[in-house]
Amino acid sequence: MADPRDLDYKEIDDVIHGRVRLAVMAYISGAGAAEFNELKAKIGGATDGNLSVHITKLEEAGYIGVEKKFVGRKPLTVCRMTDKGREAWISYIDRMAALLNLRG
Amino acid sequence: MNELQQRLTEDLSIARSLAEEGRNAPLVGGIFYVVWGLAIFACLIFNWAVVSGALAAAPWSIPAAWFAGMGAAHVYSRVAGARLRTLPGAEAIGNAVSGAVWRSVGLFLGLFAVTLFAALFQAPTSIFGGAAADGRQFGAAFSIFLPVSFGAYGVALAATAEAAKSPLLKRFSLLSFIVMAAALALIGRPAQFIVGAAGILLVSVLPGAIMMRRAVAPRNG
Repeated sequence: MADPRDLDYKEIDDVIHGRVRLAVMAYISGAGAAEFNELKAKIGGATDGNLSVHITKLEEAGYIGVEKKFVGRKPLTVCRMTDKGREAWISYIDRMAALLNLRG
Repeated sequence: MNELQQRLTEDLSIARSLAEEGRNAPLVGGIFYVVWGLAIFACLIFNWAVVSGALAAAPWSIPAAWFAGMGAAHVYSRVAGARLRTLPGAEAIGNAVSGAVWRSVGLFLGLFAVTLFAALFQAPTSIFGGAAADGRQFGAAFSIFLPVSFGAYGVALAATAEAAKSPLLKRFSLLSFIVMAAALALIGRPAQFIVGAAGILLVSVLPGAIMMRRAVAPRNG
């Protein structure tokens, strides 16, 4: 494990490190997948447009997969964490822990 | 602790609680447990009444009741299933595993029952040496089906319990195996159906009702 003193805050993954994106990644890391409205309710305070922008950013980074489908006439947007996203998430947590000197 | 560290600590704390919330997303399929449990309960009571002589009905009414009861539960599940997929937590890992396991169990038990029924119906002679349509061989064969069903329930409940991190469902899984053993011990006797009826209330309707309550008010621990 890296020495916390050697770490630079610039090494923290910017794609994850925003309050909304961090919340999205955190919730999906536990649930595995979640629907758009469920995420919006859990995160709180984010508008549809705002949340969409952040989800798109995570999708473009390959951290989550977005599936759009219909259940009856109701459109659903399901966000699922990818393997790359899980690796990035674990790495982010490790970096944060080291930066805050929570370990070692 | 400086200001940056303070903010990062707060962010991590929020992230942690969100991750735990996601991990503890409630199981949304409780209604399936209740509907299928009640349908099976009604069929088992009818089955018991006919084989014990408490109800004067033709033997063919037994498979007819089962096909009607299971068919009705299946139709209801299809309708209710669409609504459940829109509920919060429906895409969570616990619900995904639970759905896959129970669909497999349903397929296994449905295929088992239909194939067994068709095979017995088409057999050239009865296993008891008499006519092929001898009602006793249907009774004997389906006496095995009941314990097999509770065994499959026990496995499905254990898998669901593990995926959803539900110690309560794990207990219902063990209970299902106990009912399986009790039903097997009563093989060939009308009392087997009463044990099965009581068992299905315990291992399907009861956990289903608990799940439905928790889906409305998500659990704490």
